[in-house]
Amino acid sequence: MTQSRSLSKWKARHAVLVWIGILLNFAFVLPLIFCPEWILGLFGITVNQLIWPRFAGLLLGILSIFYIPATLDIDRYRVFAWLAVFPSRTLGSVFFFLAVFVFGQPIGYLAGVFLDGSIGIATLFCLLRILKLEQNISEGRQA
Amino acid sequence: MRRVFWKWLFALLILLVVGAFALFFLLFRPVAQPKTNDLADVFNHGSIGNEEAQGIPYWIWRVLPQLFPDHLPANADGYRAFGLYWRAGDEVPVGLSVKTLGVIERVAPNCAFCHQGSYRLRADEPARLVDAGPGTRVNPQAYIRFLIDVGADPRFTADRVLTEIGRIYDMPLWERALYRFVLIPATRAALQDQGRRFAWMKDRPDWGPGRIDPFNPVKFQNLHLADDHTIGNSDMMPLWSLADVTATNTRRFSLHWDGLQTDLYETVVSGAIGDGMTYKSYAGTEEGLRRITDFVRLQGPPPSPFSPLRPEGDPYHVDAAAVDAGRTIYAAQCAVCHDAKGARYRTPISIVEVGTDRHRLDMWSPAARDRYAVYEPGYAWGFANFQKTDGYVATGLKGLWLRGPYLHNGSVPTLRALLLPAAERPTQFYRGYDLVDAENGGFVSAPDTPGQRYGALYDTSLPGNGNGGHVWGTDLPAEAKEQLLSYLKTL
Repeated sequence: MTQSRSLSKWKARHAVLVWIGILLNFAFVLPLIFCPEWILGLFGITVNQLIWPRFAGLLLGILSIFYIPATLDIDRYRVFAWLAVFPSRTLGSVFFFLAVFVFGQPIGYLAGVFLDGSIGIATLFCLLRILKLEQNISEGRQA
Repeated sequence: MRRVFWKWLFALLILLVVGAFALFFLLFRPVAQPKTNDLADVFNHGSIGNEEAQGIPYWIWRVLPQLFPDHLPANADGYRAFGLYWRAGDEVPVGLSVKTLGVIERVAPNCAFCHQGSYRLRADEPARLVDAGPGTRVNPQAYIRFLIDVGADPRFTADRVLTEIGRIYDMPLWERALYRFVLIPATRAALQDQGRRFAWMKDRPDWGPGRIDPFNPVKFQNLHLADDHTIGNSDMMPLWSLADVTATNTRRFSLHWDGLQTDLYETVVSGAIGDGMTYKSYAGTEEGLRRITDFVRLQGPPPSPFSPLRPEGDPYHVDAAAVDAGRTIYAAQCAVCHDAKGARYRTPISIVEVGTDRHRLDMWSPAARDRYAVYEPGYAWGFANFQKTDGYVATGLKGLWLRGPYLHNGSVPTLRALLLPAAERPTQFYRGYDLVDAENGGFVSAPDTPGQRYGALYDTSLPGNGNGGHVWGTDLPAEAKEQLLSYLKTL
């Protein structure tokens, strides 16, 4: 396989993973906006004021939309791809980890660690592979 | 950014996800208790969501009395030393729940720790459990002190604990490692922290069996109020027939000795918070708390053994004519406060009028009411029924034969003594024995009786232990007192 074909495959894999992340995000966005008590209840989380989970759901949806450009043209919108990993997925994961294990929030918030963390890990791995292949190509090395 | 940054980030993310996964599955994943239709079992052993804050890993809890018998109260062995009722075949005594978090079973107290009664009609028979009864024998302060002493003991080491566990349980290697490196050090640290949190107990009179200072721990630990040196020592009430306290369109009924709450479910939830439940575990505990609430609404006391139907000469025989006459006196003088249909039932009677020891009343302060009403920062429980009153609540008298000693602080040993003027009531007696005193009503508690052997000395001269007040019935003629006593024994 040539370096350029391999590069295209890693870019495609990255796009697929980002879209999986977007869809998983939206699995929370719509219930958070329209039935927050139900979705949070599934994770053993009780809420007092519904406006805040609704607002968080809306922001999560808006945030997810900003992941899309890099899936359409990762060369043009490369910075979006990096921002999606850091700060977005990384801080999401760290935030929920600390919330549960340091600040005593319900264990259900670990869903945030698993979702943001695993998507962050997978997409970052793709980006590092893409970076490596691009350097190889620019330096004239073959696979 | 340099590639090394992203590589470090990659490692961090893996660490976070794997670490969270491991902690979740090993230590924090709540596993629901087995379902049961037996509400008494839910009350006696159901979780109140405090395992993460108060739960001791089962195998550590199990061997502590064997490892530290010198820290147990005298005259008993094992956890029975704290007066807990342990039914044959049960994993733990009544009043303790076992719930698995992650892969570790944890033992934590629940409502029944304090609200469990027992009695015997004859000295040679075994004690009988009374669900949701007054904690006649239970000594929660001794249990707290035992755990604090264990935590401070340098002999509480992984080697000793694991050796003792190994005598009764062949623990697999992975579990031994978890106990050695995580659970035993964490338990020791938690018990030492408990010692610091309960340091305020040192400069106050002991609670003794059947009593607790219920809200000072909440004031200092949950509400973060300064130590005001108040003493809240009071009897642990039975939780019977609380459907009677359901609010109507025109009346609200008060709970706790000083009526600081008027809603039963809020009382249950705030009680669970006081025992270590947090909003973190509330969602998984709410159903259980509602079932506990249902239980205490419906559960009544066992029928009184005192009856005119018993043969004459039986210690529990009461004369039918005396009971009828006593009922008439009760209706005229007591029912307005103590009967569920009475106008003053479950309302606080002013301290000036009732005249009993006021320490318990002063313990619950306006500041505590205000702070609990908005509890807690970061999560609003929505408590709307806390109040500050100026007296003690007139409670119902169902199961009065099991409620001794009497008054809110348990300062009067028997019903007969309660009908004496305060100056003539016993100033010293023994609490904690559950043999019914057939002659005087209450439990056997006088000096030089088995009550002294099995109980703990109660001294009315200590702060919070005053036996004055509640003079109703004390001026009755002797015959009328006997009649009233006969009737009260049958309730």
